[in-house]
Amino acid sequence: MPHSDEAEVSLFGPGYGECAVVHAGGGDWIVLDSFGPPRETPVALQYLDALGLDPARSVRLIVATHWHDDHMKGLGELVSRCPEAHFCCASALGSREFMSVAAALARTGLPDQGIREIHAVMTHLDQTDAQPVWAMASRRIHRSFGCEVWSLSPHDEAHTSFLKSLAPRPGTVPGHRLHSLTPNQLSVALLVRFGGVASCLFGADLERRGWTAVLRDDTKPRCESSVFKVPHHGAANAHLEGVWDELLEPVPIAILAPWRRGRGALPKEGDVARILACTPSAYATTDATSGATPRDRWVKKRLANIKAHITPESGAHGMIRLRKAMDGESSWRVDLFGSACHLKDFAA
Amino acid sequence: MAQMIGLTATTLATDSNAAERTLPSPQPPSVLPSVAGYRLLVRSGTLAPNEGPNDVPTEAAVSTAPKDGDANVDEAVNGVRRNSLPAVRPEVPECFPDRSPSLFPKQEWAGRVTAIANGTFDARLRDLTGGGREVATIDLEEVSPEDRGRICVGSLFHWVMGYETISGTRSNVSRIVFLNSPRMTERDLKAGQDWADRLRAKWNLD
Repeated sequence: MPHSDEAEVSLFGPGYGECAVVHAGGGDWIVLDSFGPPRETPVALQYLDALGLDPARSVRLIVATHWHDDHMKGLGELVSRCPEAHFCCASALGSREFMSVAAALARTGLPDQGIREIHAVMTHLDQTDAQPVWAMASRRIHRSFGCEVWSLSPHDEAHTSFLKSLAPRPGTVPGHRLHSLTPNQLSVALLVRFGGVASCLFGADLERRGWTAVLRDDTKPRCESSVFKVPHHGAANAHLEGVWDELLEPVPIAILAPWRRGRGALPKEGDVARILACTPSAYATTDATSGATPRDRWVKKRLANIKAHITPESGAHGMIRLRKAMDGESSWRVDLFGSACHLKDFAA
Repeated sequence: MAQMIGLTATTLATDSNAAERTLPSPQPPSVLPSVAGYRLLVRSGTLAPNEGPNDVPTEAAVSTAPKDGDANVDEAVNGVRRNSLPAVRPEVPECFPDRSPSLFPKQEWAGRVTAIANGTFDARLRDLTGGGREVATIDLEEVSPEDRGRICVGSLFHWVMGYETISGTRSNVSRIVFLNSPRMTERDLKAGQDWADRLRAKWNLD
């Protein structure tokens, strides 16, 4: 367990799913997004439990950066188990348009994990007479033990365009409409400042257009972060040189959770090279290898002859842990667990 | 009476959901429906007491148990016996081999579509044969043209791989069948809006 005056940033990801757990100091913890194996406790709760901590007393803030399935699994359980925590999400999710569709979707029974989790959280907040903290550009959403958390996005333009595009029509399949809106544009990028001695930039899945708005924003806090959670699993569409030049220290520590879905996978080989060119201190939560599902030989032969590519849902679990004393002098200590690896060893 | 006989013979012979269909025009007995290769047999039935001649009888209202055997064919065609109701059953000639297909599954998945792009769709799979969860990228060509229009994000499907035997001939099959997705109705939307309005008022968002 980290000391009271020691900052910690831990990133989890098995290849599909991403969650970050942050020790803000003084025994206060922050959780960003959620995932967990099927029918198992969310990984953030498992980790805090392994540290001997009671999530109900120690977690102060839970942030849902956006509603994609790989960031949302188990969020409802996480929020319900952490009654002292504030829940934060993009302000657009509090719009009448989104909430109406989320509730209607829950009624239809379409198995949309991300939106169902958001709806479950809002229902829980309703039952406990709590309400979300709304994230938007350049807004301080949390402060404790000298630690500040700022949301840097989404900006007004993304908010407005989202509401315009969200026009539910009876007879449509709601899951389809909501997915097609690519919630990455509403991703909540976060700046976590540890007592003025260090800061971390969490990129969520914010893509290039969103980062352009962040860079243009004159009202955001001025600081260069020493840790960067690379946005959108290292994808090229989330890379902007200005972010590395203006928002990060010259040689930051970059961490990312890979994403793999059938034939699709992030980061790609070119993404790995690009990130390593920006910083040699880059790490991934998993090395991208995954065992094949054991099958009947007849089935293997047939699968080889059809146009489909199948992989296990989750690879081996891995965790990147960074710790640093909040004294302004020491540097981050990096520990890798499970299948986590240096990015140069990542098999794209 | 001839009208009743012609009507019921048509509906019962062609569709078990006849009760939901528009009544066809009355057919004279001489054009009773026939199916190539099959001989039509007309058996008698009875209308429920409260049914009039223009009601479409449901299966429950019709007694299809044969009463007088094939002798009723002539009676039905000639429009005899008041309140009798014929049903039509195909008789398969014995010389026809058993053509009913038999599918032997070797691997089955239940899936949900998560994305569609570039002629493929991504899906989460639950392995119904060996257990475990998987993800897949599947070419749209693996789905029958009739089912491709039903693919959307969130839609559910059943995928079976195995071999099929038809008339003694065995062939390998990979079959993806999509289920009808639930759809948002006006009632769902209204309930969602009411929920959103109440919560937004509680959170002072109006």
